[in-house]
Amino acid sequence: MQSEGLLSITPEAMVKAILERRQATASKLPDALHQRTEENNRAYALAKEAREALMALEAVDDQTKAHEEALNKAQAVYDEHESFRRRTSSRLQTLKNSIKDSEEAIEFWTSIADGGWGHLLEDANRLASGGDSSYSKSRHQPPIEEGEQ
Amino acid sequence: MTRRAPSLFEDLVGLETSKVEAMYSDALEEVKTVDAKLVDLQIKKKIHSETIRFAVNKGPSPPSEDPERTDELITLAIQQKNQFDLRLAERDRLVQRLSVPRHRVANTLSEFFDKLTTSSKHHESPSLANEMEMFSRFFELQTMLQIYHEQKSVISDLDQARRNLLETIKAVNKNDRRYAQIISKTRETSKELRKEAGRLRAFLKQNKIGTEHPMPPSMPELSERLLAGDALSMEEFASMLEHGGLTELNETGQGEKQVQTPSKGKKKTKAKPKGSRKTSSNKG
Repeated sequence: MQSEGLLSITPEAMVKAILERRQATASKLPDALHQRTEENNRAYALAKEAREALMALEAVDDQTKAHEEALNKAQAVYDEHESFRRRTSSRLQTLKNSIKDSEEAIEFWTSIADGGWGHLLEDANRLASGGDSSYSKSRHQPPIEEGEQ
Repeated sequence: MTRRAPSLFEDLVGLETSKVEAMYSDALEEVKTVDAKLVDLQIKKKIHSETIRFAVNKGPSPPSEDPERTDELITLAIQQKNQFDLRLAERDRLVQRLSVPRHRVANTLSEFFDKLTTSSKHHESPSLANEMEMFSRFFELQTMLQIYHEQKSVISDLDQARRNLLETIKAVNKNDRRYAQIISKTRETSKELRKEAGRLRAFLKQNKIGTEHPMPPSMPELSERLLAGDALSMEEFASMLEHGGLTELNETGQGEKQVQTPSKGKKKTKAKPKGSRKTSSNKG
């Protein structure tokens, strides 16, 4: 959008646009959560299976070379599945955090649209009434000297 | 020189003494007039030079006002410089208040709008904290852009003031150079007139008539500048002290100087080394 058009955007319109984007994103989240949960369950089952197989082989008292090879192979399979499980678990957690953040955001922007703007328009209002911008204030702020508390 | 000497007063031979004296008086008057003109020109040139220095921020203050010598162009240049300074201060206040250039305000505003309202694969969806920060910044930048629109005249007025001042200073500079040329020519004229007055005086002296009007002291460049109120460098000042330039400026000291001037022969016989102590002569 051109800067001329951006000048006409009101805070209400902006909140509405944010909520629309948030809600559009939130509508896709349950499907994503379902997919990630399934993926994580599958990974967990594979890892569990591989771990049990490895433990079973370790329990057998066999010093032969064939047994040793089977043990190494089971270890490699377990490592691979465990790594996959960790990745899916992390992805699932990230998605859960996003869902939580999305819920909080929708709640916040809804409350903002209904009530006051709080501190959100503080800098803009100060500037409009002849004050300095926050950029100018931070630039001209004196540095905090060491030992000064 | 011996060949030229007989023809030096060729045109004066046969003229009445009173006429030669009148010619000498006229020549002296002309010398005085030209010298006064030189001083006036030097002052005018100084005013022009100081105006240029003031306009380009090399001088702290405008030249002192002299209604007789300050022309309209100088007054205009000083006015325009003061106006330019005001506009510049106004622009600086605006820049200091906003602290972000206009093009960056427009770019960031557009960027924040996209991030807040559009879901894109190119950038991650912002967190609530980021959204709040961008929302706040967006409306601050929007206010900045509005202020830039309202204060558009601050920039255009500054540009106009700069252009006006530049044009005027070009004209002042042209005049300054013109004055330098006129001063140079007038100095040549003064030199010629002095030469002529000296010749007439020598003729009168040769005929043992003498004159009550001594020659006015020559006006070398440094003296003119001093009379014009200009400052001298330390080297120039030292040179004047050494060669007696300062005593020449004192009109009352002219007679004394002539009396005190020792004859050339006497000067030669003394041959006293420079800087020797007075007590040494007593001992001898």
